Amino acid sequence: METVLRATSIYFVLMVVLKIAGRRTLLEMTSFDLILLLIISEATQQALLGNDFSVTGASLTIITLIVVDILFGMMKARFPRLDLLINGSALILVENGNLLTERAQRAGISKDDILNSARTSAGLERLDQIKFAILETNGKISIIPMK
Amino acid sequence: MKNKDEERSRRYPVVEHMRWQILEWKIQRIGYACLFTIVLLGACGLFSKGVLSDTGKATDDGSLQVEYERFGRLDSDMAMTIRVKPQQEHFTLKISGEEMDNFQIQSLQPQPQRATSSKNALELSWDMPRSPAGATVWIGLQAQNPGRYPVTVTLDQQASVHFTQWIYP
Repeated sequence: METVLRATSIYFVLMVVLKIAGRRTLLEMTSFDLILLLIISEATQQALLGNDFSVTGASLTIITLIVVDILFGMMKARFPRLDLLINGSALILVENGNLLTERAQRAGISKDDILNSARTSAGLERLDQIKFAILETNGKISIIPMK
Repeated sequence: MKNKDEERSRRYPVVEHMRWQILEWKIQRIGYACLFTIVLLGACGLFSKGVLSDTGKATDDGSLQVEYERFGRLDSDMAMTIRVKPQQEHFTLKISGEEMDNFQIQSLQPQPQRATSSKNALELSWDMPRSPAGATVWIGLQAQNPGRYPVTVTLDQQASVHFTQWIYP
């Protein structure tokens, strides 16, 4: 029972903390972010398994995590509002070449971030060449160029 | 958000839910505050090992002093220091309460000459040369279950100190 409780509580703690940290953290994975992720997994590992070195313990933990994930997916499909609250919705940051300043500020995205995405993904140089810049739920910025 | 137009949900090219988005930002703000508070409290020792956690209790005459941690964590080490001013050449300490069911004693320095148990209490006796400074016993404990645990430490069946420890899961 303890293993199941441990896995479930860690799942929820991570979900809440990453939700609070916001989508901005997922946007660009620098090498430091990668290391941070590794440290987080290392810190989690002890609490998940404790002193348990058994195959049964590890299997039970893995299965619990995946079952919680499946249950959550089912809940989200059943209640779209829960999905909105947890995953959020896409957010338009640039509309017909105009930066929506307050939205960008509150989402923690700067003009430079958008231009960076515009250069790398669409080969655009200026804001007025962008028809739409959309912050997707996975933290990436999609760029739609002007025709 | 002051700009009303930015607050309006667009339907093209993606369907937006600005009401939820604004709620999300608000929750995020509160979340930041919570996380900062947790880090600060953690640094102060609310989750064991720190200023808020380290504490001590003594009997009125000062013959028995116990230094312990108010907060402990499951499966992690916790120290308890017991200082006594023994009147005789030997002294007996009795540790009782649910503590004994829940805690594994990892280390006990110095080793007692005699260790017995009665009901739920552990009785430890030492023979020591009389010293004006008294004696100290160091105990390393590891909690096995979360919860609130009352503990009683008694010296020579007379003076005793009561306290409770909170163990986090």
